[in-house]
Amino acid sequence: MEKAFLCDSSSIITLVDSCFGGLFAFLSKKYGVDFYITPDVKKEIVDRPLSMEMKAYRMSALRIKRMLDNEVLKEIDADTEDMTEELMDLANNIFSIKGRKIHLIDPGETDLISVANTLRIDRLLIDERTTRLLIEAPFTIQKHFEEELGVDVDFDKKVYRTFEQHVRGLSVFRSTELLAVAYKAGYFEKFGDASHDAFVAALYKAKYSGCAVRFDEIEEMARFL
Amino acid sequence: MAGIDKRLLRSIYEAFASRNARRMRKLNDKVLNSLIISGEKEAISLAIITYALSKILSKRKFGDKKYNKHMDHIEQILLKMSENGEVSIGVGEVKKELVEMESKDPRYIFSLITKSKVKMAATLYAKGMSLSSVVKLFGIAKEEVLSYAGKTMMFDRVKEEVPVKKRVEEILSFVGVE
Repeated sequence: MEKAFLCDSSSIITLVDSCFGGLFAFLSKKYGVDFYITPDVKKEIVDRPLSMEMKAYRMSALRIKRMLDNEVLKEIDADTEDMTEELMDLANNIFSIKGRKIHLIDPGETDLISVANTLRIDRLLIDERTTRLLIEAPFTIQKHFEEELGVDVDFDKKVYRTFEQHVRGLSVFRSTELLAVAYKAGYFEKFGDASHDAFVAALYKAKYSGCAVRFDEIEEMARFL
Repeated sequence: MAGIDKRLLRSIYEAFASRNARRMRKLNDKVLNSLIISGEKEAISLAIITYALSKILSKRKFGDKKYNKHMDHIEQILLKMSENGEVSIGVGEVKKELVEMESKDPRYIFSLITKSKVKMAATLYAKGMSLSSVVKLFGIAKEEVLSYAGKTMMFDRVKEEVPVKKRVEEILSFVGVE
């Protein structure tokens, strides 16, 4: 697929909750970018909040539903049940403590990778940290677990090599990088002289809304953009 | 599964009996770690109530005599749980007491148990489990965990291996923005 991103629920939640859902339409119109979500992601961020008794996430769900109705976000699916299960099995057998495997991720995450592989969408938009690190830097997860739990964590290289074959070639971006694109494309021009300030404020807003980005990364983006 | 270590349950009882909020918080962290390490399912509900109990112990209002009956009853439940190891039953009974205590003076829309679930899920996410895994364990929404996690330092505690400049350059090039 040409210019396409497959988005997980965390990135959409971050951007819509911080009132930057508009940048999907902006980038789609200006650069012909397609933003896709899977049916499971739609269930999580639209169907479930609209059916919940708690109304806290209803507004975001309605905004996202509108984006789907207007085809700013598009639903996409593939027959990936087998691959999703295989990936789950692999991912949850990479790390172990005294022989006991650590359950790391759920179908919510592996389904995204499976669909990306099957439909050859190489760019993922994921704000969730664990899946991204599993794709980019699994040893970071091992080290982090060891620091947090105070025990040695084993890493099964053979299992990881098999998992890695499914994620090779995938590039993961966060909502902060999408905000950077929007900024360079002129999304914040409506703020006039304060456009850079508005962009940096947006990065902080994304972080506080749950995007897994460090403060020093935001400061760096503010400097070089 | 072996069940929760009775020594841990005994420590939880002792922390509550001595009204030691700080010790209860440390034990709560132990329970969470045991959930990751051993995968013991009973640790989920135990984590929720130990956190809730640490909040109860740290709030002055629950020292008021109108809560004495409930505090004494919780102490008895925890003692029994430490002796018979029946975590599910014990946790259920503690939850009932907490609900009754909160109903005497409701101040927040979200109950202590709900807030405890969010905090526990966010803590496990911070420790390294995935977002989908933790919301499934505690039966809460991703939005709740993300909103909580975003206001902590969890993302700054892990070094990023891919330089942010490289990410930005790649995405700009992909989208076609100069």
